[in-house]
This record gives sequence, structure tokens and C-alpha cells, in this order.
Amino acid sequence: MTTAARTKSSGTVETNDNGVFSESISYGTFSKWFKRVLTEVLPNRGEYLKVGLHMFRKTGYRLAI
Amino acid sequence: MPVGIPVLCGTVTPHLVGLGRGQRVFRCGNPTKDTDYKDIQDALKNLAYKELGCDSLRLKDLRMLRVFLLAGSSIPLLGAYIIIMIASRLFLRSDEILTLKVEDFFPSLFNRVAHNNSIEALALRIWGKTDHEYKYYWLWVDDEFPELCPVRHLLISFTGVESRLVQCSQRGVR
Repeated sequence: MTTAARTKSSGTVETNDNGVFSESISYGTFSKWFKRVLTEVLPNRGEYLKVGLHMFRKTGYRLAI
Repeated sequence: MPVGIPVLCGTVTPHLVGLGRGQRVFRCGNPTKDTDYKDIQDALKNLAYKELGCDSLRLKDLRMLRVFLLAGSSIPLLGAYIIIMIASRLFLRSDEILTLKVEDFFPSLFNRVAHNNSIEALALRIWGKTDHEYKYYWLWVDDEFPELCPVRHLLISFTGVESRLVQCSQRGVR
């Protein structure tokens, strides 16, 4: 894995119609998209959730309990 | 007062003066009352750092996310659900999971059940935030809650694909 690939702002994603992706999505883009999805999926709650780097880690702790 | 004798200062800043060579130094007083300590605390408060924090998702939230993301039969959205579940199962940070590729999985290490040849666990490698090399993980099947099992969704996603990122695309998440 290259250093550039691990950078958060790794740029845009190039993909073809088969869904084969060659470049990673940036963390900022993903978090903004995920915030929009949460707002849409979880009414009256999603807009108040704080999306961060550790959100899925904390979710995993709930699954592990 | 003789020089070198410990002074019980209480809340007063101690001043160790007049200590000669070979004389023992004792700690006394409350260091949090020291002006240097107060100055450092004030400087830390004035920094622009602001802790952002983040929340966690409930099981109900994950199920609602799955229904939403898989409703359109879209491969990028399936990839989004997969990376959410892998990150949750392996306690990964978001930036660690976004660069996960198909090549990071090792089919030769997949744990197969002998009697029906079904896969029980996947082996993959992750480069963590504080790691200096790849760390290897098992991703286990969850038969109790199949809708939250990342392995099932991953195997569906892997079908017929040789090399790509295990994630959603910029186009897919718009």
C-alpha cells in the first residue's frame, strides 16, 4: 500500500461501469456522504449524530457487548 | 532555619534555595499552584484545538442502513455497507478501512468448514494508524445475525472481481 493511497485526502475516485474502483475515496467525502445518509435513514436522530473517524469502532464495541 | 531542611509549604510554591552539594532535596508544596503550571494551563486553553468526538450506531441503525443501502441493488452502495460492517467488526478507523482492497484478503487462509465446504472466516491484512507493518485479522461469519455479517456481503461483492477497492466509489455515494 502506497503512502499516497493511505492519505485521507487521496483525491477523487475513478471507476468504470463495472464497479471496479482503482482509487480510494477520501475520508472527507465519505464522511459527508455518510452524514447525508444518516440524516435520510434515521429521521429525528441522524442529523444529530456526529460522524467521526472512530464511529465504527464505537459501533463495534456495542456489537461486542 | 538550616539550609537543606525540607519546608512544609502547604499551598505555597516551594523555593529550594541554598541547597549545597550532597544535600538531599525534598518535594513539598502543591505543584498545581505554581505560576509556571498555571501559565501552561492557560496556554493550552487558548489553543485552537477542539475535540470533535463522534457517536456510535445502534443495531437498529445498522439494520436500517442495510435496508437503505441495499435497496437499489447498487454495487457501490453494497461496498459502502461492507466497509461499515468490516470496520465495526474489526474496530477499525474510517481512514483505515477506506483503502482496503481485494488483494488484502488471502483466499488460501480462508477458514473453511470441512463438512459442507462453507467459509467460516476470512483472513485479511490491515495497515493501522499506529502500525509500522500490516497486521493480519480474522473476519468471522455471524450466523446469529446474517444481516450484520460482513462475510456474506463480501462474498457476494467478490463474485467475478479480480482486483479493486473494497469500498464505495465517489460516483456511487453522490
